[in-house]
Amino acid sequence: MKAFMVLLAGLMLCAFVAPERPLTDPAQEARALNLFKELRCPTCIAQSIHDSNADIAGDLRVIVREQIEHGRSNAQIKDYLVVRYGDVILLRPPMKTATMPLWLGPWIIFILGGGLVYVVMRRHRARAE
Amino acid sequence: MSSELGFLSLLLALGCAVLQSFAAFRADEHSGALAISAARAQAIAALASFLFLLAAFAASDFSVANVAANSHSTKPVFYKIAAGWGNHEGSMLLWALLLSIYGAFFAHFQGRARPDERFAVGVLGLLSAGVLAFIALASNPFERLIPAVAEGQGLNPLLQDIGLIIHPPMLYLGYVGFAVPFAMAMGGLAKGKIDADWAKRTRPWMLIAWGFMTWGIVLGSWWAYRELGWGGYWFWDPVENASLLPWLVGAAMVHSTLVLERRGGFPGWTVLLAIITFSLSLIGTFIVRSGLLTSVHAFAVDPTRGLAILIYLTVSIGSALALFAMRSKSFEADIRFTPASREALILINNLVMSSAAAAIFLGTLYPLFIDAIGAAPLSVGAPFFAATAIPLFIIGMLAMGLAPLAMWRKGTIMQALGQSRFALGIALAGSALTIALKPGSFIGPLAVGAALWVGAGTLTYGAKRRKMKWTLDQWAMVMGHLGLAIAAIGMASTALFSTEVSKAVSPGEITQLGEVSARFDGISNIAGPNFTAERAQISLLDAQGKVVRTLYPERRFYPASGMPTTEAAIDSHFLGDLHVTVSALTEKEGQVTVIKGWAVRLFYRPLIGWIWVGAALTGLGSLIGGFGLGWRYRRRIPRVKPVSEAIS
Repeated sequence: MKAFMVLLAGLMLCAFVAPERPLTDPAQEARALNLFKELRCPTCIAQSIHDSNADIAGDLRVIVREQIEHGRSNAQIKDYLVVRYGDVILLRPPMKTATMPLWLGPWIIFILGGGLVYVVMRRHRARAE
Repeated sequence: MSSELGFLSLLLALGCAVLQSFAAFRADEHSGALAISAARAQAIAALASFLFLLAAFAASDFSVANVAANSHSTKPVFYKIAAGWGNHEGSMLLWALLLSIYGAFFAHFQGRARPDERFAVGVLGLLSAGVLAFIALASNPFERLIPAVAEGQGLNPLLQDIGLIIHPPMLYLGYVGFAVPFAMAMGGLAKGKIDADWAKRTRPWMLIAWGFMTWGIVLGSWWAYRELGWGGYWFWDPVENASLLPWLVGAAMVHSTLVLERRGGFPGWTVLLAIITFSLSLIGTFIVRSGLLTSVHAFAVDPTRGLAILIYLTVSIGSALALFAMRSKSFEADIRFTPASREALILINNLVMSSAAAAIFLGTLYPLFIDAIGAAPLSVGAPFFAATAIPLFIIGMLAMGLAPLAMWRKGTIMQALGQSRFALGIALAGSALTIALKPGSFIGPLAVGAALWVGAGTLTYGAKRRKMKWTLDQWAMVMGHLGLAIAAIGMASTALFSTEVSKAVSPGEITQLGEVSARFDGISNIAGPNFTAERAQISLLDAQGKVVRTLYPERRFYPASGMPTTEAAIDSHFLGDLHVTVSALTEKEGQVTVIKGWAVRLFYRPLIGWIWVGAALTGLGSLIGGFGLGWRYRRRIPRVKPVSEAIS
């Protein structure tokens, strides 16, 4: 129960929103907002830094905005954060051996299922009248 | 005292459940009548038990451990009572109560004559007995706290909201309702035949459960939108995903059961879906309640409970699957249909729903799996689910728009497309408009097109039949599909065209978001029944600078739990919502945190209200179909008098 309360307190902290200074260029700011949604708040549970007001999320937003201002690409910014926090920072898991089953699994199921549907349809095929 | 009576009622319900299943599995007529009486008595005892629990909460009886842990004397009485199911133990009791109520209704209406339905009454009894035993042994909500405490620890203030009072019961009506098709599947496998007649007797229960589930999910999403203050309506949180799984597979089940009823097709697949849907309901409960996946919903982090639930899960799912495997040779279905018939399109729907469920299942559990094998931890969040599930849903919607217009058995592509010229035109126009408004988006135009395709296809279906008298099934389909189209349009529009701005403000300052001008007038301190709040006044101005509306977002503090929450203020319109939150800009000066200023965050979410209205319409269609068909079916069957009544 105690662990749970701590957890909940953590969640509560995450549920707050602090604004930082938005970037002056609207296109850059839009890019920043989109990037925030891809990055996980390290102290929260399933929240992006876009939705979190944990201090760390605020710090990360500042970092992301700074890097965008300095002309870094989204990929460069993500790499920078992955080096510091690991893949766990990315809400969209990177495509690599360990995540192949995750990314491909649903489509393999869909294709195999599609094959099954095809077999069923052939077996039950009627002539169009 | 009431707490002991509550526990006693719980044991009584457990006794009735055991009696119910023993009696139902016996062949003689007398036992059949006994099983039905036991099912009724079980429901009454469970209801009494639940009411005793609520009474303890209403009276703030802090000598009950559960009340002390989850309630507080300063809470409004309405929320005190609702706290009864806002915790692990109480919510399990609610689960058991709803299961016993479903069981009693099923036994009362359908548990008499037929062997498969008798068997289903027995299965429902066993399911109840398992849950009730779990509650009595491992999760007792009536446990006394000795010595009693003077004050409760309060409830998570986020849960102090009307949406959260009705969301869990509604969602549980869905989760638990899938027990009836599950029990019917077991009954049909063990004692009868999975055929059109089985489908006719089971489908109403499926529709009822699925309709409630839809409403439950809608309420949860609406709560998150208003209460979490992030302006979003779906977060792909593990628990949200857990509720989506039985919903998706349940949707597949409802449709394949229709094929079984009308055409006698897909019996094995349908019964398997019935088993999987309820299994996913159980797994959903397990995920939420075991604390295996932590989220705002996880009440209990307790391994023994998790183990007990896991055993319950394994036994019920395992025995159903074993029964299915034993009888898998017995399914006969010699039906014929063309590749563009309604049967075929429903098969595609089933494929899509199952694949989407598999994707969500995989994404939700993958981080745990990676953790278990000791690889570098990773997160699976909204971007993954959006990238995987949305394309699948679009494929499903293409079939969905066509299916009602396609003929059973002998539909052809030309026939179906000929019927849907109007829908095709609307869909292409919508896609083109989206490309124009939002250049560069690939999935956006497809999503808008697919949503309009479903909506216009459904309207075409209705228009062609406007002079006829509609069956309940037709009403259910039209409402269900139209609702989904409306919701999908809302989702696409919210995803594509939302805007937001956050800004530090001083009194009198105007924040601009698109055509909205919002003036921050200042902060006042207010006191609620069990919280204090800083309330901001935000005036929305028109082009001339005149105040059109005033909004009051709050930052609340609940002393009982020491937690702050944000209360968004929302200006809802047919075409979109303006969602406003306020937060304090703080700075640490030594040990104390001082407020340095205020910031507002404005979101504009175009058509977001359509999501809930549309999805609620879908749920309503399902419920009308379910209750209507069930009622009609009940009137058609002759009443068989139980032996006991006949003797007296």
